[in-house]
Amino acid sequence: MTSPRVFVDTNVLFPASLADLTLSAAEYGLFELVYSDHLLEEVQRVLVDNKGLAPANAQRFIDEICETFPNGRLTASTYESSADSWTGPTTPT
Amino acid sequence: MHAWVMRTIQHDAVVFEPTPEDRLAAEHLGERITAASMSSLARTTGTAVPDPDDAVFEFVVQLATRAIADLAAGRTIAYTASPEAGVSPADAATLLGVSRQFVDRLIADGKLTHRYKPGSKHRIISITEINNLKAQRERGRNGVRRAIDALVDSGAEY
Repeated sequence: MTSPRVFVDTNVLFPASLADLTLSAAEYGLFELVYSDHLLEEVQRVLVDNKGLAPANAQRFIDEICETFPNGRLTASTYESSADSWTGPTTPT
Repeated sequence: MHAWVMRTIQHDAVVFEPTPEDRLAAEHLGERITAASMSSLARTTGTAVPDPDDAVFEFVVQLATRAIADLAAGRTIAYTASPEAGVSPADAATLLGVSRQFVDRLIADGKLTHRYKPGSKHRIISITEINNLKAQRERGRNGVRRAIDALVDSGAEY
């Protein structure tokens, strides 16, 4: 059995304790963290606009994620082309 | 005096995993030890020592110096009869501080490679491979820690 790939949303990265849990579990190998450039932009926006973080610190957080999980990063074009093929639970409408 | 504890795994590997106290002791030792001091120490304890220029003595000093440096850096060191010698998945789990089942997953994920004992179905994982993975995981843990620090240092709620 291989580790599942999990595309994370921004709401699993706030507060910091939740980010700690999510990133630690991914680092431990329970799942493979997958994220997109679009998600990182949203994280930056939420941290600065909603949480009041200095832009430099928000960027530091993002840079560390990219450096620690380089294989999980999807560029905008990869994200667009692969998103349709993903499977997983759907949100009831 | 600092007590160093080694353990033997299977028949061919003697493994030493440094504790934080061991790392500190190795750091202090590394600052003091030189080829001349080793030679002097051996003489005072009555041990026959070859000429300091002797190639074998130089090799032993290099080996000891390297081992001390690795221990000071917190790396696991292992003495094996062959550089390719390795340990079982169960012992790999012990060295990595994870379960046997998790070692199976690491192998399935391609994060840990293995080979088979000649003529056997028993899997062997090299000590080098284990050390590389440990170092990689330590880098990952440090990365996560720095990421969380970036949030908390700027006043984000934990």
